[in-house]
Amino acid sequence: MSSVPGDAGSAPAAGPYGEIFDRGYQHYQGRREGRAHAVRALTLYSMRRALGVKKRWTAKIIPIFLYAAAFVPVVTIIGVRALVTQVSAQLAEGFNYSFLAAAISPLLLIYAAAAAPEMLCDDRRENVLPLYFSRAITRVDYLLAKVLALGLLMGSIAIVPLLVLFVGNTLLADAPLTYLRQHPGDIGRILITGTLLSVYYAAIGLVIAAFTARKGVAAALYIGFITIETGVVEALSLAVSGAWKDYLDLFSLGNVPDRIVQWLLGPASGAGSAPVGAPLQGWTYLFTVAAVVTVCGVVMHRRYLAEE
Amino acid sequence: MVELQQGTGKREPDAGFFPPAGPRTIEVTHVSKWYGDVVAVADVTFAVGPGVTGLLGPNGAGKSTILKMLAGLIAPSIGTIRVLDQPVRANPALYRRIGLVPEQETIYPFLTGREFVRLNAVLQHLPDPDDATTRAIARVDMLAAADRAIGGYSKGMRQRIKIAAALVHEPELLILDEPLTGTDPLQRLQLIRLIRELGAEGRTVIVSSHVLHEVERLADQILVLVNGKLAAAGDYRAIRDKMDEHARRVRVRAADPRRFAAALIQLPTLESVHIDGDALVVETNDVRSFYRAVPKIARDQGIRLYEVTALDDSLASVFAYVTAR
Amino acid sequence: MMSLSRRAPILWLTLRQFRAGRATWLAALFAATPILLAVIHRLGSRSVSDAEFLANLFLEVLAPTVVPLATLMLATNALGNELADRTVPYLLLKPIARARIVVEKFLASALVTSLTLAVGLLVTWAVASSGAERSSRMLAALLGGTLAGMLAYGALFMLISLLIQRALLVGIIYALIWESALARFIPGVKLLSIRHFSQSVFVRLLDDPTVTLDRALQLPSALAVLVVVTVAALTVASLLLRRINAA
Repeated sequence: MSSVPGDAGSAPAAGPYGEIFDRGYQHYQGRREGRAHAVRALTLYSMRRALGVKKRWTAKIIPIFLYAAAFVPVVTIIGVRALVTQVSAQLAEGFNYSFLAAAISPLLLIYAAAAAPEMLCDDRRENVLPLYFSRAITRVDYLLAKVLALGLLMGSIAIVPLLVLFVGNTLLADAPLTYLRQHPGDIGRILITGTLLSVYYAAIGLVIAAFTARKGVAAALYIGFITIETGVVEALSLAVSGAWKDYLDLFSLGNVPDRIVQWLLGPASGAGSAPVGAPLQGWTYLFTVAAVVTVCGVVMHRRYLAEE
Repeated sequence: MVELQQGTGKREPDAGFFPPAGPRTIEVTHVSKWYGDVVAVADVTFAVGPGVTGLLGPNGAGKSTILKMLAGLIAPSIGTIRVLDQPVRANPALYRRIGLVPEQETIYPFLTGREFVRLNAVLQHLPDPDDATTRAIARVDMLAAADRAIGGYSKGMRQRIKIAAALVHEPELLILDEPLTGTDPLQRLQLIRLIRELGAEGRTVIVSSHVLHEVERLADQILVLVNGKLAAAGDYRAIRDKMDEHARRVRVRAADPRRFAAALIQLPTLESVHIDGDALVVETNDVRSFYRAVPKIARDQGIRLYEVTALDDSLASVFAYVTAR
Repeated sequence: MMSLSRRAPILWLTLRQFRAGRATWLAALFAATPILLAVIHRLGSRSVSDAEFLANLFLEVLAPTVVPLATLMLATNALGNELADRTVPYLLLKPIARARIVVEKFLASALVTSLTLAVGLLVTWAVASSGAERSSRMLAALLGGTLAGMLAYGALFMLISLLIQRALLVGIIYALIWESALARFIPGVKLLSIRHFSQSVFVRLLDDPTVTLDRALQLPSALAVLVVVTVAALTVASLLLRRINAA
C-alpha cells in the first residue's frame, strides 16, 4: 500500500502512479410513479419548503412565530377557562370567534407574504420551470399543486384555531350536546370565513409572487401594496364628501377581511380596539373578494398558462 | 505503481492521497463536511502540489464543497485545511495569493466585463488595476466583448470573464469549479490550453469537472470523488487502464426477464447475463449493436421492455465499476 | 466615477447594483406615497391645519410605515442580494477588512435611501403646506426624524440580512406588527423601539407644544441611541462576515 498518509514521501520506483479505493455506489432501483403522484409530491414539497422543514432554523422562525401567535392565545384562554371556572363566562364572551378571527387576520397577511413567494419565486429564479414541465407534470398541475399547497397552509392558520375554540366552547359548556344543538351554524360560518380570508390573501400574494423574482421583494411589495393602498383609500374617504363616499370602503383591501369577519361571525366584543364600523352591508364585501379572486385568476392564467 | 482494490483487500476508509514528491500547496487532512444529516464530504485526505490537478466526480459528489472549503468560504465540520502553509479560514490576507472561479454563473449582470475584472483588481490592491485588467482579459481572449454588460454574455463568455477576474492578481493557487461548462468546443480548447499554461508556470491549479474526457486533457493528476469520498487518485492513465480491462455492462428491466435472457443469449457480442430480480445485468463488448438489438428482440418475443440503463456509459458507471463490491 | 470605483469600490459596486435593481424603484415608490397623501390633504376639505397634518403624517404614517419599508428594501438588499445570488465570494475572497465591506455596503444603502426619502419629504412638505404656514423648522424635523429612523433600521437590518435569508420579511414583521403591538400593550418597552426613537427626534426637533409624544426621549439620548445601535450593528455584522459560510 503506497498511499497511506504517512507513507507519502516514498516516491514510486517507476511508471505512473495511481490508485482506486473501494467505495459504494448504487443506481435508482425503485418504482416510477405517475402524474397524480407528482402533483401530490409537489404540493407536499411546496408546503414543507414554505414551513422551512429540513432547512436552517432561520427559515423556520417566521412559520413558528405565526403558528405560535395564532394558537397560543386560543389554547391559553381555553386552558384558563377550564381551570378557573369563575371567569369562564366572562372570558368566553370577550374572546369570541370574531375577536379571534380579527386577531388572526394580520397573521394571514404575513403568512401569505411569506409563503406565496416561496411557492413561485425560486422556481422561476433558478430556471427549474422547464424541468417541471418536461416531466409528468403540466402547467395546470404545477399551478394546482402550488395553489393547493398555499391554500392548505393558509387554512391551517385561518380555520384551525377557530375550530379549536369551537371544540373548547363545546367541551366547556355545561351540557356539550345541548351546546352543539344550540349552535348549529358555527362550524359552517367558521369554515366559510376561514376559506374566504385564505383565498383572498392567497390570491393577491400569488399574483405578486408571479411577477417578482426575489422572495423578499415580493413579500415587501405585497405588504406595502395592501398597507399603503388601504391608507390612501382611508385618506381619500376622509377628504371627500358625497353619497358615494361609503363605497370607497369596498376598495380598501386591508379592511375587507375584517368586514367579512364581522359580517359572518358578528362584532368583536371585549378587549382590544374594536374594528372601525363598516359603512356598508357585510355581504357587499363578497363582491370585493370575488373581484379580487377573478382578477388574480385571470392574471395567473395569462402569466403561467397562456405562454404555451 | 498502480493499485486497484477490487474485491480483495479493501482499503481503510481514511485512505488518502499524496503526490509522490515535491512541495505541497494544499494539504487536506481528515476533512468531513455535513449539513444536518447530509454528509457532503466524508473523511477526505489529500495533498496537492504545483501543476494542474483534476477533481473528478459526478454531480453531488462533493466537489464544490471541497473547493469552497479550500477557498475558505465554508468551514469543514472536522479536519484541517492548510493552503500555502497557512490556515485559510478568517485569514483575508491570504487571498492576495488565491484565485477562485466559483461554479455559479451569476456575476453582477449590470457591470461590463472590464468593470468586473477591474473591481477584482482594485480589491486586490494592485498598483495599476487598469493595466492588470487588460492583461487578464487578453489572456482569456475577451478583449472584444470586454465593454459589454455581463448580463448579455453567453455561458462561455461568463466562464472566461470569471477566469480573468480570478487571474488578475497572478495568484499562486487557482481554484476552478467546473470552468468548462457552457463553453463551445473551440473555447474549451483555448481554456484547456490556458489552464495547462497556468500549471506549467508553476502555479497550483485545481480544476473540478464531471466530464472524464475534459479532465483527461487538462490534468495529469486526478482525484476522483464519489459520494463525498475519495474513490480514486493519481495518474489519469493508470486509473483508466484499470477500467478499460472490463467489458461494458447494461442493465435491462423487462416483463419476463428469464425468457428475455434466453433470447439475448443468441447475440454474438454478449459476454454474460445475470438475472437480478426483474432485471438483467448484461456484459457486452459492443454496446451500440446491443442497444440496436434489444428492442427488436423484445418485439419479436412479445416481451414488454421497461428500462435500459447503461452501467458503464457515463462517468457514474465508471464509478459503479470502480466502486463495485 | 472612476475615482469612486478606485477609492470605495464596494460602495461603487453597490450603487451600480441599486441602479439596476427593482428594489430601488420600490423604495422610491414607498418614499413617494406621502406625496399622494399630501395631495389629498390639499384638495380635500381642510379640517386640519397644515402643521397638524404634517405632524400626524410623520407620527402615524412616515415613522411607522414609510420609513421602515423604504429603508428595509435597500438595507436588506445590499448584502442580502449578494448572498442570495452567491456573488458574495467575489467580495469575501479579497485581502480587505470585513468591516470595510460592511461599511461601504451600509453607506451605499443609506445614501440612496436618504436621498429618495428626502426628495419625497421635500415634495410632501411643499405640497401640504402653503404660504405663511410653510415652516422650515417642520421640514428640518421631518428630515431629522426620518434620517434617525433610517440609520437605525438600516444598520440593524443589514445585520439581520446576514443571519436570515428572509430579512426583509422579518424586518416588515418587526416594524409593522411588533412595534405596533409594543406601542399598544407594553408602553414601557417603547424605549426599545426604533419607531419611538425616530418619533422622539421629530418631536424634539419640531419643539411644538401642541405636538406631544408619550415618553419622548431627549435629543442627546436619542443621538446616543442612534450611534450605539448603528455602530453595534455594523460591528457585529463585520464579525459575522469573518466567519460566514458562503455556500
